[in-house]
Amino acid sequence: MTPEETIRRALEAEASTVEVRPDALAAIRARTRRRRARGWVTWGAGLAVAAAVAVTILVLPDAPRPDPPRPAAPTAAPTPTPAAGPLLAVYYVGPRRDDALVREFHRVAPGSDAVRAALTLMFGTAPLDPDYASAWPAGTTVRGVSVAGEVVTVDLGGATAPSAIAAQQLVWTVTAASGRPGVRIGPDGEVLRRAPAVDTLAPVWLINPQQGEVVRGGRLDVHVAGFGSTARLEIVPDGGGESIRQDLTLRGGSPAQREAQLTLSLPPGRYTVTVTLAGVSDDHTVVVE
Amino acid sequence: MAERPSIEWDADQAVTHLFGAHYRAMVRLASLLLHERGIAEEIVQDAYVRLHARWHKLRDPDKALAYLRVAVVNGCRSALRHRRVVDAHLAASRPPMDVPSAESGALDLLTQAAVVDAIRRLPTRQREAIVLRYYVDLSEAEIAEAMGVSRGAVKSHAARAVAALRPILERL
Repeated sequence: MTPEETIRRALEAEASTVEVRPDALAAIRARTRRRRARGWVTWGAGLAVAAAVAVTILVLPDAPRPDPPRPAAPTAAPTPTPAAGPLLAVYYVGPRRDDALVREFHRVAPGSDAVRAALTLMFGTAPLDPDYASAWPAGTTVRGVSVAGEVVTVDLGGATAPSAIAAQQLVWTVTAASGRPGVRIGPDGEVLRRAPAVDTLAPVWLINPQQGEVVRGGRLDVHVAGFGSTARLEIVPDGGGESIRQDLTLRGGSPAQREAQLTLSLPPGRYTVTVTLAGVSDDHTVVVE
Repeated sequence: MAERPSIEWDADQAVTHLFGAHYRAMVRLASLLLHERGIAEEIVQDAYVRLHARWHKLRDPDKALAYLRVAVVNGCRSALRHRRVVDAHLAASRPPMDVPSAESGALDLLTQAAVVDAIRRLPTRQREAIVLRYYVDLSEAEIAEAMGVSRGAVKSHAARAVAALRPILERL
């Protein structure tokens, strides 16, 4: 394949995963009607605008209109560990079940070896979310990490995965940190790869905010991923007050897992953010300042 | 295009026809020009709303299509300018999905992800030149019009982009 052909195919394949909202034409019409109402029929504009707004609401019931892009307020580091280093993806089992993987990002010291640091976190540090856990027994330690070609070999001093999901927890964490697809536990272990996402990952993830995050500036970025086309988002203030409930349309994302992102303005306070899909919920508490 | 001559269309009809013919492709174009997909559809809808207001001057589907392209390219450009700070923040706080999907096992998907990722990292003008040329399949003159630059500039943006991508393409 020529370089041009590779570029062409990659762009075409990427673009083909982008779908459009079924109500897009109605949304455009509602806006052009509103324009005309303003321009031509001043005395009736109020009514026309009201009608256009009503249409918008009717056709966009599940469309949380994200706020226009603007610089996000800096969010606090999710862990109190060194602030300067990179964030690593660490997989756990959860939420509230022990056969599916969820993911948290943890900050590590600058210059750390990514695989070793991610595994040390996975084995030795409690996840931020109390609904998550490691499938590995406490006290598992990393003796060594070596890389040969596409395979990372992890020496756990003879320890082996206690379950299939524990093996996948390690595989997803190591492949995320190393960017290499193969993982071996011990020099004689077989080469493991990621099992299909849909069989391995929890049906829904609340990626952002992470558990316990502190958000400044009153703007909360919500990032959800899941295996389905819609998820329910609920934001409930601790100690009462008005809750937000809306359906999110999930689209795009990786080939399997679709995503939704939106930014919400919230008054200062402590909130529980919950996403639900296929009867499974992931919830995190967050403080908005 | 089957719908010619279209000079009779009013703005609503023009939007309806051009929506049917080009909306999805425009959203896909915008999503390739942006670093992420979230706002692609919003930018394209803005372009159609603006087209509606301008139809009385354009009155021609080809001109309207060129107008939409310019509006989408410009909309993406200004969204990227806006979002630069956000992106920096996101890059720091939330690494991208940690796929390339090793779970698929398919080399094709890995290749695609690597190439698309490299294109997304190109400077804005270079990415525009590459996407308009290889995805939309425009001529150099059409690309120049959509980007609002000279044909010479298109040539040099595209050449620099291909040169930047070559190491990645050769590694695959």
